[in-house]
Formats: sequence, structure tokens, C-alpha cells
Amino acid sequence: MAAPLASPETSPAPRDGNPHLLHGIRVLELCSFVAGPYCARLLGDLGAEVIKIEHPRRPDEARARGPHLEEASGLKASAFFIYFNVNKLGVSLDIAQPDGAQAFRELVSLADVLVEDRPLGELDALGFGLRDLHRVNPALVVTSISPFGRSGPRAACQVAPLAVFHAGGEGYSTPMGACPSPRSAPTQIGRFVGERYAALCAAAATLSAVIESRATGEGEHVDVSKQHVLPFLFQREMLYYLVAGRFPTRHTRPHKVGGTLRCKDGYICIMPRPESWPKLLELMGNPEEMEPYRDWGRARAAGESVNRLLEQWLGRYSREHLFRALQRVGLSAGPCLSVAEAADCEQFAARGLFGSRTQTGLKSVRMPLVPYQIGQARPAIERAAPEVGEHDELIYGGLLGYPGSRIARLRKSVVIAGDQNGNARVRSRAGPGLHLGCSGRALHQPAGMDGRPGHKGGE
Amino acid sequence: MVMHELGRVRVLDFTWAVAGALFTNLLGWMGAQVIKVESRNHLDRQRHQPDPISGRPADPRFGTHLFRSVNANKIAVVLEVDNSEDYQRALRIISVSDVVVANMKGGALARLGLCYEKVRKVRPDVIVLSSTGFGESGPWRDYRAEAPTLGAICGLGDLTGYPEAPPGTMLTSFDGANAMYALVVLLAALAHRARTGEGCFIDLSQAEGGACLAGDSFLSFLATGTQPHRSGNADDVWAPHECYPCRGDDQWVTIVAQSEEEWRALCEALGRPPWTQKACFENAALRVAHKRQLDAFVAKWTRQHTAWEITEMLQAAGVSAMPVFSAADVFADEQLTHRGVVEWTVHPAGGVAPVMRPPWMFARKKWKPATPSPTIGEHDAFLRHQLLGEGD
Repeated sequence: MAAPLASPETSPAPRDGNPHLLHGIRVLELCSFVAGPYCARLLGDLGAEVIKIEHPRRPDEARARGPHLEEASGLKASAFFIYFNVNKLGVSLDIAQPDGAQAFRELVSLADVLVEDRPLGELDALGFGLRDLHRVNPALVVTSISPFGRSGPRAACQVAPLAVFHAGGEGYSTPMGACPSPRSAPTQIGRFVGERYAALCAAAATLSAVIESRATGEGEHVDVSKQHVLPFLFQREMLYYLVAGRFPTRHTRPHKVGGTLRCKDGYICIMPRPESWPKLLELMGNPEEMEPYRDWGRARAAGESVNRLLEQWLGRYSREHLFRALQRVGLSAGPCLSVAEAADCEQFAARGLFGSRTQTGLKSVRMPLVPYQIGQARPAIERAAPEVGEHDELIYGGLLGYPGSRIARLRKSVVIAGDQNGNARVRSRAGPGLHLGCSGRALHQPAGMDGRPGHKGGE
Repeated sequence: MVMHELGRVRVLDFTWAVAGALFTNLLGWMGAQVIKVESRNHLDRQRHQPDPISGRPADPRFGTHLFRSVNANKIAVVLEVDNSEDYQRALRIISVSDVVVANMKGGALARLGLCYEKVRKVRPDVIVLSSTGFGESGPWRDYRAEAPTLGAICGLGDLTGYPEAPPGTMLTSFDGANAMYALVVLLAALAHRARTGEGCFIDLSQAEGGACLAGDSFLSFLATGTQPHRSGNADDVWAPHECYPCRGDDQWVTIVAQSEEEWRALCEALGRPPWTQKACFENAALRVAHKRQLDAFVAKWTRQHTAWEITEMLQAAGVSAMPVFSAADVFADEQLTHRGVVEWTVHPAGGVAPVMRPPWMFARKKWKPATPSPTIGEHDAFLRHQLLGEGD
């Protein structure tokens, strides 16, 4: 049985031209930290309905990371958590308790995708192994994101993101040519960038399986290894090793001539090529010192000495000046900008990259959401990152049809978040710009057995 | 077994290098028919860059090692689209294709007469994806770009490496990530089209892709005015969180304690030496503040053991530890071999070439063996006769 689609009557059409390419696809997320949550968010950005499921007492560990931003209501929200969790609904659920397991099973029956990153065997032990899930919903795509994959000698190994990143090969040569000492350790790229790489691969793999499942009615298990993602994306250097037996180290510059070089007010990255090399020399005024290196081959052979000469010239000018001058003569160049400076750059402003704004009781949050426009529109933040259990009423009441008494009971037994009296601990946020489907009603009614929209029976 | 629906998709592929070609590579793995369009006048640089062993230009029939991996599972035709006859051919192929993709300079696709408005006239439900350095609009639209320069501009370079050294330079994985951003939105567009019959135009900027990779840093800065700086492997919350030197030449192990429980387990595994009881290491916040001291003590211990010895000892105690892998380690790794990290293709004239397999596995399907990357114009006859029905 194919997973139920949103019915046109209950699901809103895309607003303001915001393209909802994944409209009608429902994703359950049982993940924590970066990779899993970001994978789910990538789908939510494109209009999928993403329901993030968190344990009522042990929520996503990203919530604990600073900096914490204070809302007018007094609530504090982790900026780190926000980034990976906008465009989602949030429910609380302890799937280890029988009532929780029942609710989870019902959610699974209504979903197209489950993204999970639980330790190997945990879901199996709870009765939610692959076979169990497909018995409930044969068309379900289950995406597992784990450090090393779900099978093989190291399948059960759970290690921190830094350890997975450095088992991927690229860390060994990072940063290339930018080490303070010969004994410097290999470093990561940015912060937890390996986790984002894994999220991207998982999202793509998931969508390929969803396309298949929609057509054939057959679900799938997508097994993503965070470690495996890394050599795949770093493949030029990996393949070089396979054919040449050599691998770049941290202590060699990635580019013989050019690359990241010092200029007057910081660093600029320039990438001369045989065709553009004469133009660069001309821009420099064809200085005498550069004559021996007019031939590109000789320049490359001389390497660092040429770079020192380049830096003598670059050192007279600012990044901004050099960026414009070099681009004007057709040279590939980019100023090394800090995050603060990049946030201000005119190209990002013209493209509306930071246009994503949401009024949630926070002063508005701006962040780069997606790197593309679809038609004239750019996907935007349509839901704030949820509080734990923020949409419990909407999902358990609206989607699963539980009456208030049942929800209260689930709260009292801590299957979902709440207090001993069965009340919600956190009030659902309301506010402008918050898109709750059709004015607070469930996003879409699940199809009854006859395929027509119908309300799922509660108790 | 290949993917059923994606096996019906035909892609006209104007991409080259990695940021573009890697994502059409994955479409090929997924079963799509990817028609790589090349021009003899502007050959893909990866066809002829120097060979890593000889230092001489690669044989353009087969290309570099990178070309042969990234262009596996594709067929190749020559079309000089600035020539009107070939341009008409391109339009006719598009009329029987589903997707047109390119990673040229901003504005280039339009200059070739292949912008969305033009191509949807021959194929109303076509999906066009243009991946450029800065996007198809804006003051920097015509600027040249590649991973190192984009990594610098988007702030990711500044966040990578050591505070006392220059910013890090972004390389192939940056291009790879942009290829993945493109693939995600393209697959979403295919899903949308399957549901609605509508195509679309996707305008992707690789500089913006880089900014998204550092997105939480932008969010923090814009919200608080404080921005992070590069700090090697250091983490704000966890310590130890570092790569430590081991016995052997340039051998390292990553050790992370993600909780007080793991920290205590680490201390036990080390035999609770006195330094682990110092007040300045009492909790994570203190350990983060005294990272330099902490790392010096840990390194003194790690230097006495090999990376694998440390890994086994600490994992058994429930502490995150893993050797730092070089490329040699990656290809020798049992786990990655189990995953099928690399496959070897054979071209009758070009010999063997390694091809990297996609980093995910399915329960119901296995990847089909990769077809070797095509020679220039290898499938011209197929294109003209089978696809376009041209006579001899």
C-alpha cells in the first residue's frame, strides 16, 4: 500500500511562490545532533512535512549547545539547534513504552520516510527493526545514518563526529599548507562539516528511494555511512593515491603557484592558470623579478619563490582591491573573508541569501538556508525550530485523532512531555509567519482504507 | 538491479570538473541516462590535466584519474552548440530529455541559447539546473570561481585550521558538497514533476553552498554579534576533543570524551594517573578552558602507543577513539572495503581505472557495475542514429 498523500483539500498550496517541491511527503525524524537533523531539515526546506521525534526527557543533544538566544517569553533556544531544525514540527515521544510504541507505529503507518541515527540494534530491540517497520508500512523508506554503516566489522562502533571525520582520509591532510609547525595535528574542516556532508548524501539517497517507492509501492532501507561519505567527496585526492601512490600531507601547499596568499589586510586566494598567468604578470606591471618565471612551467617548478614574489606585490593592496582587479582581467580570485565579513558581502545580499527570517518570539533569526533559487523564489524558513513536544496536540490530536483524555494520560506517564496533571509543559508558539498547515488543523488527514481522505479513529 | 524510475530519466549534461560532474555521476549510478556533452574547442580540463605519475598531460581520450571516476556511468557526445546545426541537435535531444544541467560561469548557459525559457519551449516539463560560482544574478555573476576561492569567500576557509596560521584552503570535498546540494534539489524537482507534471529552473550558487556549510556560524554571528574563529579541532563543549600523536611516523589518534562518564572512563583506562585528578580538569568546561594543558598530558601517553592500540583500549572502555586515516588507511580499511568504497573499471583501450562508489547502500538493490568513462564523442553515432533518427 503506497503511503498516503496529502489531500489537495487539506494541504495548502505553496505560499508566496515558495516552491514546495516535496509537498505531500511526510518525514519522521528520530535523530540527534547534526547529521540526521540536517538531513531531515534539507527535506523540510523543500516542503516535506518533517516531524521531529524527541524523547521527553532526553531531547536532541544539540539543544544543550550554546550560544543560547533568549526569546521574549523567557524561553532560551540554542542557535546551534535552531540552524539544523527549522522547517520542522516537533513531538515528544518515548517509543520504549508500550503506549509510545503504539503511537510511533501509527506515525510510521502515515509516513513516507523515517530518518534514524540510533545505535545499532536499538530499534530492533524495541520491535522496530526493518522487517517490523515494513510490516506496518511496506512503502516506507528508512534511512539510517551511522558512523560506519549498518553492516560490516565496525557496524556497532559509535564514535564522536570528530573521530569519524578523521577516519575519512581528508583530515590527514588538513589544513594543507597552513600548519604552524611541522608537528601540527591534522584538523577538521570548519566545525562538524563532515556531519553536514553526511546529511547531504543521506538526503539525496533518501529522495532517490522515495521516487522509487512512490512509483513501485516498495519501500527501502538506505544505509548511509558517515565515514564512507568522506573519501567519496574528497575523491580527487583519494584517486590520486590509488594511481600514483602519493597523498597530499598537511605540510605541502595544495597549489604550487597561487592559492591562499598574504596581502595588505589579510589573505586572498588566487588561482592562476597557464592562460591567465601572463595577465597576472601584466597586472603586476611585468616586474623584472618575475621575468625568469614568465613561463608557466618554470613558475610552477619554482613554486614557493614565486609565491614570495607574488606576496611582495599583493602586500601593497587590500583584498577588496585585488579581488576586483584580478577578476576584471579574468583571473579566478577570492578574498578570505571572516563569517562577519561574508555576512556583509554584496553578492549574498543581492541574492537574498540571509533573507530567511522568522518571528518566533525571538528577535528575528537570519541564516543562510539553501544555496539556490527555484524559479524566482528561494525556499525560506516557514517553521521555527520546535520546542520539545511543541506540536504534540497537533500531531497526536489532529493527525492521530487521540482525544484529549488519551493525550493527558500519555503526559502523566511521561510517554510524551507534560506534567503530572496531564498538561503540556510548553505552550505551542503562535505568531506571524508560523505556517501550521491549514490554520492549526492537521497538515493532512491520513487516507482511510479506501484511499479517500478520512479521519483516523482515536480511542 | 538498477532503480526503476530513475532509470527512465535522461539527462543532458553540460557539466565538467567536480562540482557539476559529480552530481551527474550519481544520477548515472542511480540509473539515469546521462549524456555528457563536450566541445572539442573547450575540452573538459579534466580530460588533459597532467597525469599524476608521468607529469605529462593525460590522454584526452580517457582523461585524468578524477575524470575517469567522476564520468563513469555516462555516455559522451560532441556538440559545438555555438554552431547552429549542433545547437538544433541539442534542442532536439532536450525535447526527449528530462533534465539539463550545467556548471558554467554565470550567464553562460543563457549565452548558448540554453536558458530555461528557451529550452522549455521544446520540452515544457524540463528541469534545468545551473550550478555557478555565484549564481545567475547579482553583481558577482560573471566572476570566475573554483573551490579554493569560494571557500575563502564564504567564510569556511577562515573557520578551518589554526589561529596562528593562514586560513585553510577548501578543496575537492567543497565541490563534492555543492554537487550534493544540487543533487538533493534536483531529485526533489523530479519528485515534484512526477506528482504535478511541472519542471522548473534551479539556480544554484556554490558560494552560497559554502555559506550553508558554515550556516550555524552565520546564524550565531547574526544573532549575537560574536563570531567563531578557527581553532583546529577544538570544541566549545567537549574536551578532550583532539587528534593526538602516536608511536610511528605521522600517526595520530582522535580521542573525544562526550560526557563526564566518558571522561571518567578515559581516566580509568589510563590507570587514573595523578594529572587526571587535577582541579582544572574536573568538568568539561574547565577542560575546554585548559585544553592546552590537557592535550599535553594526553599526548604524552598517546606517544607511547600505536593508534590502533589506543583505539582498541579506549573503545573497550566506552570512549570515542579512532585512528586518523591517511588515504592508504582508507583503502586498507576492512569496513570501507565491505562497503565497496572503490570499484575498478576497464576500458578496452584505456585500461583499468578506479571509480568511487556512492557512500550509501540499499537493502533491496545492489549497485550495478560502473561503466567506464567515455572517450570523446564515443556515443555520437548512438545520439544521431538512435536518439535523433538521423540518416547516415
